[in-house]
Amino acid sequence: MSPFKISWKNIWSKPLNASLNILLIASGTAILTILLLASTQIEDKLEKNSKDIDLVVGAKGSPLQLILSSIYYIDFPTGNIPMNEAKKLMKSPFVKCAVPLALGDNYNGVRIVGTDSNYISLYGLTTQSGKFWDADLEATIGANVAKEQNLKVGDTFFGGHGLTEMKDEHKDHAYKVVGILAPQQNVTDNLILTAIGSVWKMHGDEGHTEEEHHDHEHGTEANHDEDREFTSLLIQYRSSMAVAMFPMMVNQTTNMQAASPAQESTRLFSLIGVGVDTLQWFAVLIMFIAAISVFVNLYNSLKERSYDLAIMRTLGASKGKLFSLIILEGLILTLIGTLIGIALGHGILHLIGNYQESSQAKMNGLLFINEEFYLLAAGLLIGIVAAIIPAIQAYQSNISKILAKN
Amino acid sequence: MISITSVSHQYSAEQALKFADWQVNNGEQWLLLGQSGSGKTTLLHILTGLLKPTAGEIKINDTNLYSLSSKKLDEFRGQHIGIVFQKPHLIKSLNITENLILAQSFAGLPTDRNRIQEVLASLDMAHKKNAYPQELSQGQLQRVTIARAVINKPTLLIADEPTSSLDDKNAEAVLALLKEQSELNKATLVVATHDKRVKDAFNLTYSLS
Repeated sequence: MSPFKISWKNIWSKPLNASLNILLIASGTAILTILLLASTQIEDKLEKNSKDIDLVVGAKGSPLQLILSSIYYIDFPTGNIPMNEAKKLMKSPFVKCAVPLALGDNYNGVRIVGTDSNYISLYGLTTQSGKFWDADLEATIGANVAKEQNLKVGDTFFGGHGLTEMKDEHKDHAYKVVGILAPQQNVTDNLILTAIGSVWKMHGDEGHTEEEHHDHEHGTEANHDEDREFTSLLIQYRSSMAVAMFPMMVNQTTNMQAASPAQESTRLFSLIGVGVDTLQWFAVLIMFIAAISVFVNLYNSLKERSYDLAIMRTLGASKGKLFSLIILEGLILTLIGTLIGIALGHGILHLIGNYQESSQAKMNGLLFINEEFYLLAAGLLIGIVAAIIPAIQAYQSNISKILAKN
Repeated sequence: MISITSVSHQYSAEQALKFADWQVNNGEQWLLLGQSGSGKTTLLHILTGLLKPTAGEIKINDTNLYSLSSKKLDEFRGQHIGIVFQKPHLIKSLNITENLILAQSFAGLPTDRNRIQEVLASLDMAHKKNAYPQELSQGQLQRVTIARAVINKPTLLIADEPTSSLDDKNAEAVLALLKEQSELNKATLVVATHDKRVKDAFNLTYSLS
């Protein structure tokens, strides 16, 4: 009979004790798993989405809000910036590439982003079908959008005003899907991309379309540009010198603000980090309690079982065998607990992901990461540590004395 | 053949036990007689390799017990010595068959279900082979512990006070079983007791004073 079977049978001869131990370990591990997965995924997303963007320029306000709205498409934009001013910055010698963004509309909660073709090269986009947007009202949609909103090339849809709800639909102009992006594993999977002129058409120009045509005919486009606005600019520096000069220049000489994604992401993460740390300690505390519980359980059962163990010795089991039986019991308990905990963590995170409204920060519970092996190792270590004292006692017990007493 | 030569054991400075030399031939059935405190249990533990005596030598089939390493001694005990204790004690989390398999595997022997069937049948316990210890009566438990003691066909079958908590009828029955099983398995039997009722059943007696 294998030692595993002996230990296993003994554990389940007291199902309540065993379940309590497993429950404690599983709870601790589940919390740690969720924290580990969530923080890895958030960090990953923050990094992936901002990797080639050095600076964001937008209306004055909270720099974090500017970054969140223009890079992660989570928060509301800080406002708009005049196109003329923005164009001046785009021509600056510090700037290698500048991409204008016009936000403000959505389709069933998916953000519609007005931008130009530089956006494609900035994010390295490719299409899986159709083409990139070109003329106004043409839209190229992210891979997830196509799947979730059931849109394909050739379909048309109306945008709604605002960023989250389909209120005040712009019924005058319908967007036409001309292409679907290949999955990019970044924010663009959940965006609708279109020409910047489309967004203008929906808003400022809407009331006076007639007039606009009129103006065009009379060649007064320069005057018209005065009213046009961007939401923000995504900027890539030409040289590292710009890092020190450019943001200062923007903040001091213009009515706009410059925010660095790297800095703001770090700030954001340090804010989240406090919560993560607290939860982490809480989980460690649970694991510690679990370890004590396993220890107490084994230690108490050892007292009751000392006669059992003595009998095993008379049947030919060596001291080492008893030692390994007890260690094995600790290991089995914590291994089951850890595995259940990891599975539970993934399940809960996936559930959270399904109920999350923001598609940009969505958690995926089906992703596994290498760090989880550390959790498994930590669980096994706890099992050994909790079992080691009872195991040593079993090893050292004086068989003759125990048998004589009974 | 079992021999003990000039064995003595000292628990503390004032409490020393000396045992007379003893020769037991194969297949013999002995009574080890002594009052409580006379060192009966001590001698049994020394004889079964559970307690190393302060001085002296114990040989079972030419093996000097205490010259073996701790691990080898445990294995030797599992294979060559069967012990029946006063209180029948089985591992509660395992059923009867599993308790017997345990005795085979702890002794380092392969699982032999035929042998288990055979032994249980000879003790009229085959119908309980899948029962758990708590489902059995005291008398049935006693039978299973005898089954466990003889499962590996030991050279030496030792019973420590097997009858002291039983009434006359059951005491007689257990003694009969022990004698029958030792003959069946060609094991040498040593029954340690202070129970006067047992005396008449044995010709050979080793007395402790």
